[in-house]
Amino acid sequence: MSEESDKRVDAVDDDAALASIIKLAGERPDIPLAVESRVYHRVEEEWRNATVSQNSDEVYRKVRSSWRRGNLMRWILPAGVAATAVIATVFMSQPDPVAVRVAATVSTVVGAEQFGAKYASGAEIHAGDMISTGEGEGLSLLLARNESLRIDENTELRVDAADQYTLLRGRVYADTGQFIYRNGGLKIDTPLGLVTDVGTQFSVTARGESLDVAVREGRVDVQTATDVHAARVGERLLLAPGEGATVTDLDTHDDYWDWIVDLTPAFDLTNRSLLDFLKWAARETGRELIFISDESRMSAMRTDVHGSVSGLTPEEALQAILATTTVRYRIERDKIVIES
Amino acid sequence: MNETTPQVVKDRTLAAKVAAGDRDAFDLFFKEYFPRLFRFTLTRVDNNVELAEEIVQRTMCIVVRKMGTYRGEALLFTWLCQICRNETSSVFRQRKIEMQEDLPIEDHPAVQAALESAGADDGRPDAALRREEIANFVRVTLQHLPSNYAEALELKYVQGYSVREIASKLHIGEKAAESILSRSRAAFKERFKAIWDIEPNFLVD
Repeated sequence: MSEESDKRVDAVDDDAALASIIKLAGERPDIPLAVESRVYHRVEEEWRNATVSQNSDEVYRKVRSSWRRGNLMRWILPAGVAATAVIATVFMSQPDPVAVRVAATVSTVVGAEQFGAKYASGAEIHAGDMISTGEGEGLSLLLARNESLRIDENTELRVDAADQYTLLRGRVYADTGQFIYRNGGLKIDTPLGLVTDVGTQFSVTARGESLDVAVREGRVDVQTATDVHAARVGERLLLAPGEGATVTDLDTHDDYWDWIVDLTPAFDLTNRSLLDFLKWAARETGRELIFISDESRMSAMRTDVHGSVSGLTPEEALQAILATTTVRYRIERDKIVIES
Repeated sequence: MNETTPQVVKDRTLAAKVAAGDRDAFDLFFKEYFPRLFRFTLTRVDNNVELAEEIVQRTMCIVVRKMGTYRGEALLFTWLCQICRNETSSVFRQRKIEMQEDLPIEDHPAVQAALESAGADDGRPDAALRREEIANFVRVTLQHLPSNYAEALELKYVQGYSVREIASKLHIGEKAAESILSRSRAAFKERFKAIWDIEPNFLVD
């Protein structure tokens, strides 16, 4: 196989000519790691200042405002659009309804064989579907834009649209990434109120008439019939009819989050760097990723990872992958510290 | 460049994400473009690492501030190179370093001369000088290729690794290594022709 590969590559007509001139160039000069890390540090600081407002509330207001403008356009535009659409539909065939309605795909499934047969990995979930899990059952869905939704045992969830779900009972966990400047948030409707996010990790529990929202990163809004509440990172908001809202602290790596571990979508290592993997592990465990030096960060960026971490928890995967490298690390209470 | 090539589409998407504050996109941008820009700069500052560091840092800081204005009229790397040339001039002026002329290597008289005589048997005795000139063409072309393409070509043709060894070094299968070598070769020829307006084979005596 190997010799055949070489023969095929070398058999290209102009290979010898190319080889002779590329050889003249010699090896590309190495770039000192210290130089790369210094430049990274300064450019990253410049980029952060240029893209992220110092005032997170201001960012939040801007994002919400852009969403509201989007909603407004939905009411202003229809008059013109509807007229055009009526004419257009006379001439155009209907789009494929199935392709339009795919809202998510199943990623990870936990539960008995029968449940696994119902929700195979990769199966499509459509708007209008009702997802029910029983005792010891759970699954995770991959949504658009790399977002994910994990569904705990004893949960009933209706899929209303790609970005809108109704939680009738039970618990879900959403990870909608760190990309806060996107078009609209994920909406989880519940009997007591509507929960929306601005790029975050959070869980929603609907139990009877009460609502329990915990935020691991970012911020979510909860709109009830009468009020709007906000829950921020490290907070747990409890709402019950007639009792008002209660906010308590909740660590991002608290045992409370343990239920999501078995439903973690597998991390695909193909063409990913060690830095990508470490960011994923930190995010999944609710910890901050700290490098003791810029050099160690650069080194992680330059190192490719390979193999598979399928079936491993994020902490097991961290241990397995770093065992194949020279990188040393330690887990502190709320941090993963990369030492070398 | 007005035509929308797949690379331009990728560049636009990456630039939009970086401008919007996507950290993964920023890391991808830095990982892909820092090494290429640094080597591009080194050739323009007589391999002075300290100067190259300052110029590349200034260039990339400007680029991340302006990233939202990138519209894909040129490849992202071409845009970076234009800003880098300006910053090189600026740093030279500030440090009062005498600069012969702020010329990109492809416009340097020696390289131009080599281009004019490329492929012709002009009986020049300075074969070593001509080899170095051709080597410069190749280095500039490699700087304009995606990092993984330049790496694959270097592993194969400069370091002489087999396809199996390249596959192992890049952590991919042999078929994928064959494929990347094939695409790298095609990209090299295309870039070479675009930059120098001659086929690379024309340089081989």
